[in-house]
Amino acid sequence: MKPPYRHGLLAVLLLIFISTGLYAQQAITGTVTGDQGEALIGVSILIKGSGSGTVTDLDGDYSITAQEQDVLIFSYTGYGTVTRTVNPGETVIDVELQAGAQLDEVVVTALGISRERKALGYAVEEIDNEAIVRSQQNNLVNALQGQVAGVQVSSAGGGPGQASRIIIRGINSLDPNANNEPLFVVDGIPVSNETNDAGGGGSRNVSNRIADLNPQDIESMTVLKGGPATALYGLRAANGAIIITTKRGKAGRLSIDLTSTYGTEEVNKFPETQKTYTQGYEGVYDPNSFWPSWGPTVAEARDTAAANGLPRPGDLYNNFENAYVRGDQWRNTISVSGGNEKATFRTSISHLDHEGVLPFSTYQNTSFRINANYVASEKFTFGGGVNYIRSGGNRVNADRFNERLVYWAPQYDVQDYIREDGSMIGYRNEGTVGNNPVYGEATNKFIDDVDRYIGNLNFSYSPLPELSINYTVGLDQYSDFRNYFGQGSVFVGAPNFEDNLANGNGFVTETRIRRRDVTSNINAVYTKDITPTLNLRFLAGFDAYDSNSDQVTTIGNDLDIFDFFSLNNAADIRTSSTLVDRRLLGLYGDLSLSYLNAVYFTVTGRNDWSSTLPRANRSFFYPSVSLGVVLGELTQLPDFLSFAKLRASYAGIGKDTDPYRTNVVYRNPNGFPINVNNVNVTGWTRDDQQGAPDLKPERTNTIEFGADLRFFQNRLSLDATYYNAKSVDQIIPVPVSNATGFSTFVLNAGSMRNQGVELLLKGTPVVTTDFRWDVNLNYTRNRNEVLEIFEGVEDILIGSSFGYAGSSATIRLIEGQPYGNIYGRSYARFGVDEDDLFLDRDAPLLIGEDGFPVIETNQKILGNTQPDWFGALINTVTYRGLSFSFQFDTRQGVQKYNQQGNFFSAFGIAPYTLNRNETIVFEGVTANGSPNTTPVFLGQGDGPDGVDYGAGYYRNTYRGSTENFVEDADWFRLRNVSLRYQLPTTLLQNIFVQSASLALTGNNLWLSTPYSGFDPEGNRGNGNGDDGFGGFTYPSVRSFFVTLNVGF
Amino acid sequence: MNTPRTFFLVAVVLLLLSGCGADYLDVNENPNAALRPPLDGLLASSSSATANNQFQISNGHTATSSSIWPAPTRLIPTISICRSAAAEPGAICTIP
Repeated sequence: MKPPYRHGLLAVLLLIFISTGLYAQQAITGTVTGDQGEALIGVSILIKGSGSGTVTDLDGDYSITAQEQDVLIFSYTGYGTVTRTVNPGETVIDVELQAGAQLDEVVVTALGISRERKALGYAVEEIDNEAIVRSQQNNLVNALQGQVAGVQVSSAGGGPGQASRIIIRGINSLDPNANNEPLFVVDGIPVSNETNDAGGGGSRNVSNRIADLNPQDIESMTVLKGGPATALYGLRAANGAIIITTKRGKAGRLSIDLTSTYGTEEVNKFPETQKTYTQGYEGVYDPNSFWPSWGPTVAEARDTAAANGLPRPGDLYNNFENAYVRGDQWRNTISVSGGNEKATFRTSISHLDHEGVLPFSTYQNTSFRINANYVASEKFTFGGGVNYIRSGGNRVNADRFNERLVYWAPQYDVQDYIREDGSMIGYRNEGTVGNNPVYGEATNKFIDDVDRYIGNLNFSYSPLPELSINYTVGLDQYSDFRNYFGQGSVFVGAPNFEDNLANGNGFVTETRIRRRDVTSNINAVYTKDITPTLNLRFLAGFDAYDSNSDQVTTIGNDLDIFDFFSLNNAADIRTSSTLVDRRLLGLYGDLSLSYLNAVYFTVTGRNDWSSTLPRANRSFFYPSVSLGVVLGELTQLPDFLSFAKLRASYAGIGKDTDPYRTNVVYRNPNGFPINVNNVNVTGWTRDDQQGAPDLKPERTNTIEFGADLRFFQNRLSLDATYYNAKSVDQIIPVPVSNATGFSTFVLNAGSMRNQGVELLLKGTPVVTTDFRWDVNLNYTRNRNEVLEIFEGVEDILIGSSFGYAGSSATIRLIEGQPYGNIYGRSYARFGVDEDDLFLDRDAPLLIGEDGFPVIETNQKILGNTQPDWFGALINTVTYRGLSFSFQFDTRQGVQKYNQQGNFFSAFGIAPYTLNRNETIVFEGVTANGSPNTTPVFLGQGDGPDGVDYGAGYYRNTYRGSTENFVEDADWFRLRNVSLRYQLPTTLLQNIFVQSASLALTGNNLWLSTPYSGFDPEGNRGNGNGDDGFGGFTYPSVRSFFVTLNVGF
Repeated sequence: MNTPRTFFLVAVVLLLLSGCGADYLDVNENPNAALRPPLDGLLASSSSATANNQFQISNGHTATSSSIWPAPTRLIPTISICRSAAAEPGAICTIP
């Protein structure tokens, strides 16, 4: 074919402005049916090469204006695509589509380019709107839970708007502060998913910024997992990419869609507590004691209280359950969409109001979005979208709340928290002393208020049939005003919450964050059939990214008026600011060749220039190659095998570092400025981190192999992937001796490898005209190894969590070991090698001369935070208008340090402390190897044998061994059950309602885990290593939803 | 308009866009901290730190380095002190 591009520029311009062609326009109508003769609703009908089209209505009918010789493409999900050429004078075209054909499935790849799935040499998974909204998760990241192989989503808890963390194919960086999460791209624009801890947000479970998006607006999410899939995106997608496509309007009548959801929730798992022993110490009842549960039994306390002139001891509340309430939420979304063959639009308004299970935790989200597209001519189309979001709420401090619940004496109701005068009711000294955690949340608040704008504009110009030039420009800008305050004492000496008083008498902290990300991307795509069997596609482009953020935090301490939260009311004011600029430029190219629709070969290259690297090293190039071979096109496959594809790919991705790591700088030390004789003096001191002027980019080299096999006319399919990603020259702050004048040097100083397997099994066991049952099983196994850390550095600390009596747990990285090892103290074992890194739990306990186990103070590896494997099973059954689905999720071979468990032992709350009045002989051996025979009393004070046991076994010994609190955190859960009923269209005839459905959803309905605390899925926070620490987290919830959807 | 010309135009646009990159990327000077602090300020803070060290030592504590004032915050992970396999704990690590 020889294209008519000899006419020159003038002709091209004329063609742009004269939209009517040479052929006569004719109106075409028809009906599209399936192979059973049923009308198909919403079948897409496109005029090839024009971008204009329509969809079928409720009866399967359509009408479209086309020209002679136009080619109409009829496509419908789950059906084979049919093309028909319009013959002269033809006005009626009826089409029958065949069910079950899926071979030409199209997926979105890097830069939003749609490609046939079979042409790809790497793994890509896509989830559609139905799967996204099925679980009614408000945080889009949570909607991915269990849906995609290789993707691990960890929610920090069930708090309203709370951040969730998403990791694809394991953690890639040794740097404790590195961002290991994927890049999020919305309609071609990379958007921020940061979780900003500024102004105290870290302990307050603020949102990750993707939580701003309304899941109802999302058409699909594509997960690009490895280097070969993301190579065109460059370094920002080094941890994978999630490509989000929002819903667009469709040509046809104006449609209005209303979705209303009500949800209610409760804590899904509470820790067990003992309900026998009451307030006091050494078994002696004392209503003024700090100790909530080291007293006598309630009955014993009642016997002695009257004689000692004390009030009658009360029954014990389970305040861990009592402190939490039922949460609820409303989300309403209205969307309007429509358009004609030229212009389409969709707009939506949504509001969410969510109150959580922890008292006073709230979150609101109001979102407005409009998308519009315009086909100006056959050659020129443009479109855009704007999303405005306002989000935020009162973020509670779940960590402190749960910690204070441990101290609270169970004989008092923690919900009885405030006096008429507004002061706190404590648990000691007739309620005048002791922190009440509920009062704390009522008077110590952190409220964030985000205004965010995400906008994109895209233009596509095709001067020639083979060539298109695309330009996208986008803006993601938000401001976040954070107000953090605690009230002063109601009157001088009034009982008040400790955190309110820590900074004088009440405080107010205001934080102002502004971040702006601008992205600009231009590319040209050229396609050419070199021969009828050899096709070429070439893409070249350039993108620029500019990120700028500005943060100011002002802390005002010592309020004059106790409940007036203004900086103007604070006696002591301090301010600090942080500015960050980061810029990136990238030039990229992609050459794809396909031969016989069977062999697909792609090679890409990209050069990035990053502002964060020294000038000499800021430019770096990296390539990728991928190959896909569709066997069925080359050779005859056996009958049972309907499709078989093998794929292989390689990518080497370069990566920059955080800004400002190339210099040595001087900062203001704490305590400055100081005032000397009425002169303010600003102090300067050298920063303890030495930047390096010769940093070079990190590199991640990925190899990936995979197979896509489908059997029995596509009734069963298996997709298997193996990957091996090695990151070298990692830029990390290396710890050095303080004698160097620094504590860390930033260096290219380490390498790490992730390798793993992803399996995806899909089947359709039963399918009839009315009934269909789909099963979807996914499995992920990732193995990580730290290959190398800078010589002389023994380990890198990723995080730590406090434990009593030296039992703090730490997560450290050492050479030859996987990421996420949890270290801590343990019971000493007899006859083990002292230098062994791992604790040998099977070796006999070493018992000391006093008859108690001996604590091994050298920290050993007690567990690992990264799961051996995880997976999910999703079943969907549809019968006519009824659809039912349920999803099981599991995570196996993972451990977690339970900080709450450590406190439960220290304060006599754990059920196992009920044996505190027993005398036992610990099983184990003494230092000379003979079995231990010394009986010991487990309680406090003088034992029956007359020996003084002091604080007792649990406080002296048990709580000091981290081993007791690093628990298996495996879980198996019924993540989601959903039942949806779509009213038959026959019922809705003759009324203005076009469609109506009702859905019932339940999340987290059942959980099985050996972990003793709250649901082990909850994490301390959203940082690296936080998934190894649990206990005082915002608990996960079991939730139920009713959703009504009506279309007009 | 023909194919080579189109490609030429695209190439020119791309080159123009990439050509303006050199200065555009020079934004890595930390705006939150000083590169060249005034001597007065250095003296003020080291005088204060010296006095503080004397105070700490006289109270039986070890001196804090005058250049380091780490703020204890739980959520920002820190890096552990260097313990070389060859050297004693606390010994100076060799950095090339």
